[in-house]
Amino acid sequence: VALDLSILVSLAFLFGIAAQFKAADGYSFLRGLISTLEGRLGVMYAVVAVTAVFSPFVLNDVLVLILTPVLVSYSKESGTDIAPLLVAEVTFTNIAGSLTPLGNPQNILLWQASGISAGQFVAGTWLPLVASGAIAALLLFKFRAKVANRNGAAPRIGSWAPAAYLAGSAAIVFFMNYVGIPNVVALGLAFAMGFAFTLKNPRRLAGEFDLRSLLILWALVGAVALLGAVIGPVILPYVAPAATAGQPYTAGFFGLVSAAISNVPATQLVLSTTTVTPHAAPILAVDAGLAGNIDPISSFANLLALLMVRRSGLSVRKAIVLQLVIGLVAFLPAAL
Amino acid sequence: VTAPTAGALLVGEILYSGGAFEVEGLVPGFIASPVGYVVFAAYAGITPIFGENLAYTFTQPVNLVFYAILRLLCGLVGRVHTTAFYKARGFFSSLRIPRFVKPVIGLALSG
Repeated sequence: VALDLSILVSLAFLFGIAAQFKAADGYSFLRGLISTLEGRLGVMYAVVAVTAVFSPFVLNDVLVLILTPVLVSYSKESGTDIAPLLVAEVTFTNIAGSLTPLGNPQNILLWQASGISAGQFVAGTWLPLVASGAIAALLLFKFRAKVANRNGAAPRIGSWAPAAYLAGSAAIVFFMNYVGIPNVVALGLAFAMGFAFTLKNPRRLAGEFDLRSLLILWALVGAVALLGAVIGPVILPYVAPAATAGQPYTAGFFGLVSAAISNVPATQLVLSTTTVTPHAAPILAVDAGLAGNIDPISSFANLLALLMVRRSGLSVRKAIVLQLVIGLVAFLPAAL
Repeated sequence: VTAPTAGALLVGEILYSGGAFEVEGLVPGFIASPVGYVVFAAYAGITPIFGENLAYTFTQPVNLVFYAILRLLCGLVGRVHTTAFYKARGFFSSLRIPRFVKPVIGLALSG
């Protein structure tokens, strides 16, 4: 079973970094940043810019959790369709989150299993992700004019401390990785650095730590690892070619499997069944990340966003269809 | 029992019609179904439901394309099945004949 304690602890530290960011008032910061950018880019591309810049450094679910209520209020206040806004948010969260080991859970799994440095990881992921992002941005352009800007008072950026923390934590992870310190230690130090911003209010940090989601993720990864150990010999002929990163098979495998069981379990299934080479790990991260844009099930960030919008009383049907079209086209660079 | 992923998806949608889905139940379903399958497999083994003599060696990745097409066709067949079921039920409900005759007709039609 390709699952050890260091992977589970690394996932916990990733959630810890996200909690530190939120406790450092990351909510207000991101909302203020979107409002500031809205005047220059329009709200949809403001969402694209914010998610593209911040998703590589904080869990994609966290960004969705923060930004989706903002999009819902925009949609209700301006009376515009939420579908393009939601698709912009989810698409760029999944694309940009695939860039670094910090952006989503499956990247941590692949990074730990492959043993490559964070720099090598990014070197292997950036090109197809830039191509996918460019395609998605072009496809979304058609909807730009249909999204009105918000009327009335808009939130402002209060403090840049949350951004400074994310930049600092990324610098720690990359530097320590470069000098050969184990990933789990680097992530732990990045988490600990957050106390410089949140020590004044430890209760808020405790409140922002999403323990339930972490436990669910641990259980999910553990269950899939167990399944992989049992049925591994049966599915190995299908999984082994995907683990070698030979294209277009790997992209097709992740596209189909992620659409059925989501990209984190799909990645864990591969890791539990066979060995992923250092060369292949970033390619698998790209394929799993971009596959996350195809349907609501293919990424937990998608599910979370759709659930929040549906609970607000808005329809998600159009967003699902639009996501399918844009997700499929933006997935094409995964096969390169 | 031998399709844990399908089981997780089924429990999310079986309560609804019109494509609605119990999103909150999906992730717990994805946790429970592999564990349930592993427990089942510990007793019954992992032999495919149609037997182990159906030897198939996966050699052509391009076959995945046909699997995807088959998946769409299976969805369409499922749709036809449910539509035919409700049409047949409506038809027999509208027939003014003794109730016990209706299953007899069904029995005769099915051979």
